[in-house]
Amino acid sequence: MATNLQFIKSVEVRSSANPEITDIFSDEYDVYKIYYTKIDLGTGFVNAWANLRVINATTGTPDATSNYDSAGQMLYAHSTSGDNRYTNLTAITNAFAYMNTGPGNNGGEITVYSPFDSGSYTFFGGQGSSAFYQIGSGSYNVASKSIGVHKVEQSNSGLQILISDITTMDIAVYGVK
Amino acid sequence: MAGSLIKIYEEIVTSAVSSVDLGGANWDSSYDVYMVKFSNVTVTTDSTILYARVLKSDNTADSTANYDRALTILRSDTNFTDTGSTNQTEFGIEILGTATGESANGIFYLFNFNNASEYNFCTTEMSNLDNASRLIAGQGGFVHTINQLGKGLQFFMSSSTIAGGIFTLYGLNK
Repeated sequence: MATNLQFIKSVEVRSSANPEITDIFSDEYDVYKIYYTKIDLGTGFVNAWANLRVINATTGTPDATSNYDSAGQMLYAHSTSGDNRYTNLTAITNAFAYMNTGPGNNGGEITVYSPFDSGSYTFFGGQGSSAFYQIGSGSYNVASKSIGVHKVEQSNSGLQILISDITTMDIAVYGVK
Repeated sequence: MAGSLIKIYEEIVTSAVSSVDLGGANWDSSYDVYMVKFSNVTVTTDSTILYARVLKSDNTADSTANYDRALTILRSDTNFTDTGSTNQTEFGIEILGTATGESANGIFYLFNFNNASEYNFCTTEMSNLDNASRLIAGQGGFVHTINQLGKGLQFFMSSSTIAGGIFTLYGLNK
């Protein structure tokens, strides 16, 4: 029996800045699951966020307009939780957990709703688990629960990840048929 | 390799309906765990609430006061809050509106629906734009506190109708 979680694409990001994950959304699916893992950032990058932009299917370029809202709850192993919330920014911001290098290698999942539908906004939900580095006292686990929206009725074909020095990051994209 | 996420039933709403039954007569009791997916759910009337109820063995929705819920409300406009309630007659998903983009989206997992001697449990992950165009969503779950079979979920509005959306029920194959 055929599965309804259907593999679309895997991407191995290597030594890249702000990579674009292209041609992953289409009219074949309304909901997508994206998994990210094996993350190492460049030396000196500590507690970086994986901020996101959609890629406009018509222009093929990331949408940097001020139309992104996001909310992320960070659950820390060593401290009380923190709330990040933003409206009308140029990317989904500080939502999908921290990314680091070395043992801070993390993983997570992002669900994307209706990205290719030119008649609806694009919604995001997700969760991750990673490490948070605190200078002088080491690293601690931080888990995240996050949501976001791109408030433009347009068809989007992919995502851009806004981190300026990625050493490694593996991404797998599935459609939920 | 055989697939593991198996579509059981889907309803695509393109004209207004009073409710959507995911399961009921279309329920397949072969699975232990089910996934419910809904996207771009829009409403006919501003400021009406999208609800869910458990479908019973007779394929009707259970409206008895036996729904408890526990959620963390993530939102972009103000501080997050924890909310809980007991002995409700339904599970409240979101207050929705009719402005551009206002809609509900989410994935629920259903547990113990085929066990008549257990409660029906449900986890919820959502990403919604409410009736004031605020990004907001309850992350957590609800329980239907009756030992009885469940045959899926019914989605319905506090008043008026569901205008659009895609609702899909899956089983997780073993």
